[in-house]
Amino acid sequence: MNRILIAAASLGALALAAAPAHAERIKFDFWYGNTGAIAEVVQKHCDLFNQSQDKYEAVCTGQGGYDKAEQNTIAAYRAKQQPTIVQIYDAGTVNFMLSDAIIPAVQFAKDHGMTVDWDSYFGGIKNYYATSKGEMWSFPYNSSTAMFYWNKDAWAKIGKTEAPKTWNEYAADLKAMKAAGVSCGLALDYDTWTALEQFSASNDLPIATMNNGYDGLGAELLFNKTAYVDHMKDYKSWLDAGFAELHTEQTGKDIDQAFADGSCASIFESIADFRNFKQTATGFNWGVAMLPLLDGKERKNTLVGGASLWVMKGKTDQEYEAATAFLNYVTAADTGQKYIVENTGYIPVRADGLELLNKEGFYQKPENAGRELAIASLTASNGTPVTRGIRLGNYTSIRKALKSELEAAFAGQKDVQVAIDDAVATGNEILRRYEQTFQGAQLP
Amino acid sequence: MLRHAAFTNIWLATALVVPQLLLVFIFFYWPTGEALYWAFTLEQPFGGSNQWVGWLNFSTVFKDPKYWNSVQVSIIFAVATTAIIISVSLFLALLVDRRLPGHQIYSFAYFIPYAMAAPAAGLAFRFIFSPNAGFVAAINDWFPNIWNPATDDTWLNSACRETNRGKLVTAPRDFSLLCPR
Repeated sequence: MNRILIAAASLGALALAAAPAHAERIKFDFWYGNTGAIAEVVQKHCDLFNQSQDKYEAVCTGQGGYDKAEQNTIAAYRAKQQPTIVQIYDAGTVNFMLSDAIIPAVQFAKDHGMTVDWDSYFGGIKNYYATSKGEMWSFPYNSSTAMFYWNKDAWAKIGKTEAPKTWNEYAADLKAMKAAGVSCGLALDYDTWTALEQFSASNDLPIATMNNGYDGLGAELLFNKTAYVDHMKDYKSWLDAGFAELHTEQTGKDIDQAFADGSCASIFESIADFRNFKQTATGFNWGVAMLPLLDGKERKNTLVGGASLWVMKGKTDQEYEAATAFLNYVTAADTGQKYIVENTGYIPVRADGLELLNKEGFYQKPENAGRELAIASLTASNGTPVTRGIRLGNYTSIRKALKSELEAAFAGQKDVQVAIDDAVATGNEILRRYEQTFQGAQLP
Repeated sequence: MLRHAAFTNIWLATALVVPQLLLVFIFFYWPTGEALYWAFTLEQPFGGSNQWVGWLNFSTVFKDPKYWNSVQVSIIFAVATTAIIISVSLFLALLVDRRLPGHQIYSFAYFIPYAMAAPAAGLAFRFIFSPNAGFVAAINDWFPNIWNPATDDTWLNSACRETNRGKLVTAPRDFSLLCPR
């Protein structure tokens, strides 16, 4: 008994003696939503920050998904257990803007002496996380946009060496490839991020009234009256003609796998997956290109995907001091943007990051060929009223409603126009409910 | 005859009962009350505002065709399930009770599902019904593209029904892994 006591006492003494060395570090919580390989990159970013200095310690916790990161933060905030910094995906932006639970990035930077050149953020990225007055409320962290991935070997069979520039040219290519023995020209799922949002932005088409919701919570969905409907009819006809195939998890492989194993000749997918394909799609030559355009349209900027960092209210000054150091570290050109770009498929978010990468010849390396096109796509224009972004309440549910209607339409149970009309009706209900929930609140 | 309670000390009795009452209150009455209150309000995700909206939430649900569709499906499911379970069970019980031919097969079959973990069964059926790699995929070699649960709703439903039937007749288990999310 005595021996145990002595052992316990000496252990306690050891712990006490060891404690002061660590106690000086100011800890703060950072939650992120990424999973898989990218989560490892984020976690390592934290480690690098912690190793780079000995004053602060970022305690980084993955939440197991973007949606979970948002839900957990909401629950934590209500229980007053929120992290100091949280990574929130594009679709959660409006919730956080209206939450009254965050400190706007511009405000936080001003209060804590961060020098940020807000104008050096690329337009397509800046607008998405900015208020209607152009003030950025979060710090972009991992940014992507949609690209066209194409199998060059398949296109070579129809004698073409360049990716199609327009949707009509693309449709003709699909037909020609089918005739040339390519069994599947395009792998599709029911994704709305590329098919609706990026398609609409690049062609300067609205998704909702009031400038896609930027001007207020009273916005109504519009995409059942734009060229998007014809675009989906094209998808349906390509499926019916066998030019395209549906690939989801339920069919055994998703579109990424269908492209990577060579069974389908092209997909529309985020630039964030570029590095994955470098490892998985090794059996053929492939490239990336900007999304095709509708005939006669001038290219506008596509929308940013990925996530940004929000600072939560209600933490101590010390935690905010640590958070400032962390934010400076992970957004800097060298320790932040370059690290993310080199270790994932994401793009630099600011001009200084791009400058540094260019100086080092990053985009000239053969293994990165084409990645610069994502930046070109995001910066193709400076943001028209409808390509700034999408600011619609509960947008995740709207995406889901459209997705389930598209499933019915592609399965032939519903006319495409009717399905999209129904999705818009459901979506407008969702918007009205959101508006009522935030009655009296003003979108910043 | 009933006797009086054995507890003469009211405090001891209270002390023994209170934890249980607290549990019931905390885990049943309290959440139920909160849920009832929320049913009549709209609350912002981060809190801060909670407005009374009367019957609005109810009218939203009752106006939603998806709700009535789910009611309809639930009724069909409940009636069909009960009918199938009762009639099949009665028939099988009869086989066993009367030692009619076949009762041994039934007795044996009844226990097979118990020997396999539910997720394993789900994964097995997911594989069996996979249009690319599964056993059923063989029919795609003879009739190209005839089996594709993801695009063809009829197949999907029949696949789900098939797995559900295993659940209904034999043992409660979850084959939801197979069915679309």
